[in-house]
Amino acid sequence: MEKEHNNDTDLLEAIKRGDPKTMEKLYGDLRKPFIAWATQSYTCDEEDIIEMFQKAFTILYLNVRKGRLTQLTSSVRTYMFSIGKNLFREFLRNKNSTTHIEIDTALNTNLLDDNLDTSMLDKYQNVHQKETIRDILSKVPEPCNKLLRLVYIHDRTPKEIVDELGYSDERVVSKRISVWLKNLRELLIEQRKNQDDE
Amino acid sequence: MNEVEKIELIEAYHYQRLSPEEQTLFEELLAVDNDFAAEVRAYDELLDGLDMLHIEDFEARLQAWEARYHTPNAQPELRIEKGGSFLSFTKRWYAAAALACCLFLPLAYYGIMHQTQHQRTFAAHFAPAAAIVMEAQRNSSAVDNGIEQLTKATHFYNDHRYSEALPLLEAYAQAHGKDVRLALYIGVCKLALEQTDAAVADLQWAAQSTDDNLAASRAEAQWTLALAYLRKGEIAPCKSLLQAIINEPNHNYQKQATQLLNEL
Repeated sequence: MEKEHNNDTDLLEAIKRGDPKTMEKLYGDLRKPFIAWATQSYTCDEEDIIEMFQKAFTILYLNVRKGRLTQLTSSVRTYMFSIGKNLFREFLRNKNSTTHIEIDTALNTNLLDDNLDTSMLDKYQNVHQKETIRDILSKVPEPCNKLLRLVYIHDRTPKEIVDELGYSDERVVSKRISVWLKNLRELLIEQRKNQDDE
Repeated sequence: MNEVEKIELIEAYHYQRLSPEEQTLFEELLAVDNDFAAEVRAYDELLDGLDMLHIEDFEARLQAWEARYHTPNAQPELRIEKGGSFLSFTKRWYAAAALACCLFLPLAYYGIMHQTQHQRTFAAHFAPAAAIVMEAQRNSSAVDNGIEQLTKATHFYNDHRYSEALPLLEAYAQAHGKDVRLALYIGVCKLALEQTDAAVADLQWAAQSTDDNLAASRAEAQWTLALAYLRKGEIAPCKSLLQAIINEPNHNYQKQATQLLNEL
């Protein structure tokens, strides 16, 4: 990663943009050391470790995307391990294990940040809210449905949308997005009202 | 400020794209203008919901990346070993040999039984959909001798005569290039002909396509790839992929993936 991004700021910018190549490469770069570190530090099977790695990776992405992480005081790897440490603690606590928590104080983890907030991901798992948005999104006719999905779900930039959907320029794309965002908001308000009436 | 600019500003606030000064000004405005604050809250709720769908998509991508580490051609998987060992090399060798003796027969039996069970589960789920190669190619501008080749291939494929369809499809792909559909059909043929390793390569190629116009073929390739992993007894990537299918909104094979994941 360092070779392709001159400094942490470049890397964080690329993560914030959701740059697919950067994200995939970063996933590969962090996966092996994370598994090695977790294997040494916790008694878990491989599936659990990979699940924790993916959660940590998603939290890293969310923290950058939502502006919670704008500057790194350590390497990305250490930051991932800090998230991992907190996730493992939570995971093992839920498993009601005592022996594993003692291992948590071992050399591999005690230099990591104990107070890193990993709760952000929970906010994005609200099934009801997800279904509501999916429902109102399904009411948007094509090609705007595709436009909104590409922008908000698949993270395409207005420039990419121009190439992909054949709009004349980025300004037209932005205008269409704003109009449909407003319509979606109205649909959401309407839906909420109907739910309240029921 | 017109409506478009206002919405862009709210979006920039939601995604933390404002400078610290702009952020402060925005928050001051929120504090004094209740109507605007209510409007921002409504947009926040909407954008949060869209973010949730984005994260769902992101998690599906992670599953797809992860699946690549569980294929036979992937770099050697990191071994999961606990801590350091205090045994000498010789003692470890003897211990390993003893352990192997104790475990080999039951493990071999267990492995064979599981393999058979995976084969049975594979057979129960492997039911390729009819090919639609021909229509797609006729619509393209490349009208040439290949059309005849594809007509025959489609006919053989839909008749489950995979050994006859495969060389025609491969020849066409060689001459005209491969697309998602062709890669899918070639993969299915190979899978039906028990060339599972080769099938996995073609199906992986098709499953990773980003062409939204061929989303249905990509979905079928993902499902068939999960079945190929199952047949090979590679359960971790199979489960990862099934989970990714289940997580992907409106995926054509969500129901089948859920059922198979429950069976596994």
